[in-house]
This record gives sequence, structure tokens and C-alpha cells, in this order.
Amino acid sequence: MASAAAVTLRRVLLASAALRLGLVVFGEWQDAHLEVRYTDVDYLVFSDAAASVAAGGSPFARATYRYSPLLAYLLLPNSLLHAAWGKLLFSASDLLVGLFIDTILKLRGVPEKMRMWSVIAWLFNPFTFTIGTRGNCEPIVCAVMLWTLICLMKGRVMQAAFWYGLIVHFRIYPIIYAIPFVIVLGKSYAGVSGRPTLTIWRSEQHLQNGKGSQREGPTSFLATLWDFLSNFITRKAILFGLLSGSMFFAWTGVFFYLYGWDFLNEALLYHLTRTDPRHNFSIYFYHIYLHHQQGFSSIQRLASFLPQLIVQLALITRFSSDLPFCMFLQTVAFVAFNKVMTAQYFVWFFCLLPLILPWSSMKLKWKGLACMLVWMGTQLHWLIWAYLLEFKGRNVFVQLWVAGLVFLAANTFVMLMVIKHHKYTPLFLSSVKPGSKVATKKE
Amino acid sequence: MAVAGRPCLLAVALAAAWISAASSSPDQVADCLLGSASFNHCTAQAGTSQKSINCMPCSRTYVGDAYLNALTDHHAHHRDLSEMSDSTELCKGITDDVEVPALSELRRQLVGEGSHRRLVYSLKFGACQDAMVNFLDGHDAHLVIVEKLPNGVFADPFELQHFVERKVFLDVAVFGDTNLELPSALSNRSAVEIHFDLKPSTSINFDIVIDLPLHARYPVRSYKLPWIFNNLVIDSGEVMVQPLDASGYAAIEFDSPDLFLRYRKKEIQSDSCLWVLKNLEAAPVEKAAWRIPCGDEAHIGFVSSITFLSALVCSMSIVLATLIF
Repeated sequence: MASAAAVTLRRVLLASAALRLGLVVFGEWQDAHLEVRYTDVDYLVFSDAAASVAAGGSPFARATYRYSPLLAYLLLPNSLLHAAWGKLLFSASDLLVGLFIDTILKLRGVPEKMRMWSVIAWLFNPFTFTIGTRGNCEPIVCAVMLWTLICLMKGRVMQAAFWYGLIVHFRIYPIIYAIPFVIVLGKSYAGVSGRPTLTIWRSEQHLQNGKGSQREGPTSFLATLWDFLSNFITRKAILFGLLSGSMFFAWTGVFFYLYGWDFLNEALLYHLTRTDPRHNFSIYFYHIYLHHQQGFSSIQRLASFLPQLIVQLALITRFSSDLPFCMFLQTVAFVAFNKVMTAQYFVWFFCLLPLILPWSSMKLKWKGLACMLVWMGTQLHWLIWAYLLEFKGRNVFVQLWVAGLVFLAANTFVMLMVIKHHKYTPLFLSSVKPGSKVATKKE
Repeated sequence: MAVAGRPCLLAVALAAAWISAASSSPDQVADCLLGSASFNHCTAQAGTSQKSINCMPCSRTYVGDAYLNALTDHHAHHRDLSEMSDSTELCKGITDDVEVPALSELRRQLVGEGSHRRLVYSLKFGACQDAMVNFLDGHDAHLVIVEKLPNGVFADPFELQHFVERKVFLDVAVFGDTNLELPSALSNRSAVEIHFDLKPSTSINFDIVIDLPLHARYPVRSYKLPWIFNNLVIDSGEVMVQPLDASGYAAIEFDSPDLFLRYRKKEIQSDSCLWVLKNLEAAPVEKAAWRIPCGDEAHIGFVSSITFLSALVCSMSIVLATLIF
């Protein structure tokens, strides 16, 4: 049975690897022979930055390089070996994400068949395999985030802190998970043995019978707030915060020493203050375009930040104990309410979606399909207006902006559906009550 | 060759008076100092032939950087191409007895739709084929096009470098504002210089077609101004004419490009390597016009309020869902 499961996962990974290798090869051919490139323009930026480093210079000599120098270092073989090295690295990270999804679900006792579907939902998602093969670095971020989660699940708090600090330096957005991490590392994190006790997956039928279930509802706001405040004094939470914070500042300090304000402005401050007046999926783009000449008032800045803050706090206070679910919702909300939204950001929550599928009562037919169609349909609607604006030169700013509003509504709809159909299950058991029939998995 | 003296001297005098005014543009200065804008007038005129030729050391790669200050600082003293060469003394003896091909036809079109278009140049040289081949056999010759881009349009230097890698162009450079992400209101002008290698195999009858990909920035959004300011946009303290029609488009026009023939003898002595730069004195081309959609000031109120309201409604829906479900 175990070998059959391994073969199945192996086959899925091999097929995914072959697909990605084929796309990388095709991409090289297309770039060389066709006017429209397969490769993402960002990949050219990374490669140029890596070439600059290889020549002894700064990666920020390349205009629009707005990433950690670590990425340029990772892509040094682009100059030394082959230009496709980076794409292969990102595609390998893709496969690693698939492996980590299987690992996480296996740790939680999810049956093999369900695990395979979850892994396939990532590996054969058109967004994900094109992102990596076109040369986008997001798969690396996804892989490190899932590895951080695995470390937490296995009780390796210091290791989790190391990788978390590193990935926040690499790509700032994972900072949104800091509070949920601190909450789960609270008093209820470690079991009697000092290691965390994971809740395992239970079949839907058993849960509907409601027998012996220790399934808890989402915690109340006050209870969560108390947990959060009292959790700061736990040893593991403090160590996690200190080490991950030190990692972030250490890497930032090293590169500031090496590259000065170029690094700070381009790799860090740019992302914190970015307002892009050019059209993108965000509902704010037209507002930013109309205002960018005279700047923004404090009230406008606050008004655009407030919905994001409200949603993040609400999700954290209600769902933080169900860590993968909380991370997924937080990421969807972060992307949807952000001032800039591009398609590559979708990968941030696509890697977390497989982790919550086994706990969703939403069937593919027809609610699941409805969510997919609504989300993709509204995206397509936006793309049509964007095409008319950018490639046909028609003044459709208002229509495009409205399409952005509709897409936000679709994201909200999907979030509501996911919340409604999710079986809230804390990742870690706080304690095991006598006579309980709930199976637990100890690490 | 001596016939042109009086008309062109008058033109130079007029130009000098005009230069002292604040609104002179670099291309007119360059045209007039190097020769009249009309090739029909000057190529047959002996007095201008020396003016249309300059020399520069081989170590100097580009011509277009002479435009940089003029493009980015409107109040700076306008540099012209004659400043880029040390003196006409350098050209002494180099240009004697050299039959340099002249341009017989130049057309330029803006093709494509939307925010990404191409300037397509079609050129023909007037020299007979044998003369052209003889010239190219004895000289390394490059066609140099300097296109001064209007505000609101930019060329992507990395995209153009791709053309060099594919050997479509010999070399290319972008001067001025190369920040691709800025909208028009926050950007400055730029110029593109293309070097195209002329070889006997370039094309039959030396008909050359060159594509320059260009991209539009987000234009300044339309303003509501009193009628006397109709069709004027205030930008960076300078009044710019930016015609706006009722349907919400900004109209951008391209000036005529500058075309040069850069050549040197194939047997180069390293200590005296010089490029000869001959202004091809192309006739002004029909102005290319690009209509770019722009945002409307009238939308500010309802766009901002509905945007914030929508974000608030969606966020509160999610908060409600976390409480209910």
C-alpha cells in the first residue's frame, strides 16, 4: 500500500517534471524564434542582475530589479552555465511545493487518494506551471512557506523561525502570517512530550455524526485576543519572534552594508510604498492614476489601508488556530485588497489551497465549479477590457475599473463560500480529553 | 557647391536670432547649423556640404547624447551636433574625393494600435547600385537614425538590446528618461539612436526598412481649464500643447528624425581612427500622430468614493462571514 502510494506520487511528480521541462525547452525555442517571448520580463531582470553580480557589480545596477540580492546570487549560474538555470530552479521549487503539500497532508492523516488530488490541484494548475517555467521566482517563496509550516508541525520552532525570517526578507508579504504563527506557538502548542500534537483528518461522515468529535468552532474574539496577549510570554513564541526578526534584520543589514540605499529603496521601501497608476487587477488603479499627479492625502491613504487591516485582523482572530486555513484566507484577502494586483500574486494562495481542500465540504459539482467559474470569468472579463485599452487604444478606463470592482466582488464571494463550507479544525490539539475517540498524531 | 552661400547664411542668421528665444527646439538648431532642412536645397549647394559633415573619433560611439541636455532641461543652452565633433579640421582630407551616397526617399509611419506601436522607416538611397557597392566596399558605413521621442512615449532599452542580439540593429541607445514605469506627468523626454549596418547585401537597391518599437506612457489626465487655456496642459511649469478631443484622448506628435551616414575607410590606422558623420538632410517627414487614451478629471469624485465604498463593503462582508459561519 505504501509502495503503491509512493509510486503514484512519484508518477505525478515525474509527469509534472516532464511537463515543466518541456515548457522550459519550448520557452527557449519561442524566445529565439518568435517575436512574442514566452519568458517573463522579470526573468530578464533577474538574469541581468545576476550577470551584474557575476561581473563584480551590484544587482541594482539593473533597472527595475526590486528583489533581494539573494535571488541574483541564486541565478549566478544563468551567466556561468546556461540562461535557463533559473527556470529549472523555479520549476524544481514547483515540484518541491507538490512534495510538501503531500507531506503536510500525510502528517495530518489525509488518505492517499485525497492527497493525490490536492497535489494535482497544485502541480497541474495552469497558473503554477506557467509561472515557474516563464521564469517567475514565486515558487521559491511558496516552497519555503510550506517548509516553514512543516517545521512548525514537527515542533522544529527554531528551524521554522530561520526560514520564516529569511523568506520575509526575500519577499515581504509573508509578514502577514507573523501574528497567526505567534498565536499557534502559544501555551497550547506543545503537548505533554514538549512536541506539538496535530489533529488528523476525519471523514466527513464521522464529523456529521458528531460523535466523539473534538472539533471546535472558531474561537471568540475576546478569547483569541487573550490567547494572543498571553502567548507573547511563552518561550517558543518569544524565541520564534526573536530568531525570525534577527534573520530578517541580519540579511537586511548585510545587504545594506554591501549595496547601501540602492538595496533598501529598491528591495524593501519600494514594495512598502508602491502605488502603480498603470492598469492592474486592483480596484485602486484608476483612483491612483487620477490622483498620482497631485499625490494622496492622509485620509486617502488610511481609507485604502483600512479594509485590508480590518479583514486581516478579523481572519486572524477567528481562524488562526486552523493555521493553513487562516493563511489561505489571509493571502486571498491580502492580494484582493492590495493597491496593486498582478497575476503572479495568485500563486501565493494557490500553494495553500490544497492544504484546506480535505476539510472543505464544498463539492466540485456544482459549488466548487461555480466558484472557479466566477473567479476565472470575472478575471477574463477584466482581461478583455484591459486588452481593449492596451492593445486597441480605446478609452475604457471606467469599464476596466468596474471590471476590477467585479473581480473584487468575485474574490469576496469565493472567500465567503470557502469560509462557509470549511470544517474548522485547529492544526494543533491543545489537550486530549479522557475517553475521547479523536485520533491524534504526535510528532 | 558655392551657390548656396547667401540663402543659407540668411537662414543661419535667422536661426541665430531664433535660438536666443526660449522656445527654440534642438532639431531646428541642428538642421540649420548643419544645413537646411530641405535636402533639395542643400545637397546641391556647395556652401552647405561642409556644414553637413562632421568627424568624430572612433572612441565616441553615439551622436544622440548631444540631445540629452536639450531634452531634459528646457532652459539649458541648446547643444547641437556641431558641438560633438572637435572641429571640421578633423575632416580635412578624409572626405575629399569620396562620393557619399545621398538619401533619395524617406518615409516614416506609425503603425499598430494601442499602447505598443512601431515607427517604421523606409529609406532609399539615390546613388546608383554600382556607386553604392563601391562606396560600401571601401568603407564601413552605418545609417544612424536619431529619433527624439515626444513626452508620453518611450522606448524600452532592454527590448531594443534584444534587437541588437538578433542582429537586426548594429547598435542602439536610449538617452534621457529611461524609467519605463513613470506616467507622462512624472517623466521626461528621451531620444533613441539606432545604428544600422549598411552592407552590399543589406537589400536590393538599398531599400531599407527599420522598425522601432515604442510604448505609450499613461498621459496626463485631462484638465478642466478656462476656455483661453483650451487644449493646453500645464506640465512642469511649462505650457505644453496637448490637444485633447472630447472623447478623452491625448494626441502626441513626433518631430522629424535626424538621419546620418557614419562611415570610415576600411583600412583604419589605429592612431587616427575617425568616423565621418554626414547629415543625410532628409526632408521633413509627415508628422506621425498617436492618440493615447487618458483618464478624465470628471471621474475623480465618483471613482474614489465608489472604490473606497466597495472595499469597505467587501471587507465588512468577510468580517460578517467570520462571525456567522
